[in-house]
Amino acid sequence: MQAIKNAVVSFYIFLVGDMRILVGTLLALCITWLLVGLAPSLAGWFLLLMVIATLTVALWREVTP
Amino acid sequence: MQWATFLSSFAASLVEFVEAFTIVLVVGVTLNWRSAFAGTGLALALLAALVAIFGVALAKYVPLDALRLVIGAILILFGLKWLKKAILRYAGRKALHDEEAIYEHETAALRAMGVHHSNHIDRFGVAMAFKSVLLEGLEVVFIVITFGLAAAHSDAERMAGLQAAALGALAALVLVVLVGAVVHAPLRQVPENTLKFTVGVMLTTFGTFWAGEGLGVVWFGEDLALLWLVVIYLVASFALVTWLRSGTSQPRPVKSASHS
Repeated sequence: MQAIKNAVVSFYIFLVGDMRILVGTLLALCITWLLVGLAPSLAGWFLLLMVIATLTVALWREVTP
Repeated sequence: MQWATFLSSFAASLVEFVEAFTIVLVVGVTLNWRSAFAGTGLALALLAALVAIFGVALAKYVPLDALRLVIGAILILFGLKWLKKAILRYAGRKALHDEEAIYEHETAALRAMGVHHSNHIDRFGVAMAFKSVLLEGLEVVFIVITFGLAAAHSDAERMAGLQAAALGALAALVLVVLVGAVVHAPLRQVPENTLKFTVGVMLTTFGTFWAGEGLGVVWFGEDLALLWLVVIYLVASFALVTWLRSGTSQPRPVKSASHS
């Protein structure tokens, strides 16, 4: 099981390389899914803002020692 | 023909094939062209098989909403990866991808290992060309499959989308090979960072739109939402470049040729 998990993580890091982007994107999608039931159009704006926030955090961590 | 899908796939594939071409050129010039072509051919055959197998399987057997959500998520991941690197390069925080420097570095490394020109097919050369084309091509496979499938509303449209995306990738490959055969040197005139930035914005935009549709989001303007999403991502990206430029640091040195 650990070998499979390591293989999946290695493959992801090879393809995308930034775990913050993965965490941010998954979080954005999960919360959007929860919001869609309450306000389907506002959920879209939330998804957009969360993706931009994910990019911002990834860049900030890249340049901060 | 789905021209948006074709052009998106073409642009994304062009960047990756230019990077793979540099290593193939190193093998061809240092060892021999038979080894370079053999490795490249094997990698391309494997990549085409992956597109055919996974693309058709996804097109036929996965429900549309689930497919859009997964594809949208994958496109957001790839888009943010490309955008992050392009923004860092525009802001001067990361050195521009220099194909010529990579070519010189890899050629020197091969010569230091004692590799020299030969007339027969060399396993090391085949492996080097194969690895380079395969690694760069894997991203192309993901982009071809996701772009090809996501914009469709029926099985027939999905297959047409896959074909359009695959043709875009093929057109990029042919262009790189033709230009490379004429120039016979690393393709340093290609505006790689501009292409990566543009493709990054496109991937992120389409990924956000389709992931949202898969989740049940109601986009303002429906399909026209793609336009204002592109504008917002462009404005945000330029703002991030400005923000990063306002700090001071030296760009990192160019790394050896590897997956970008």
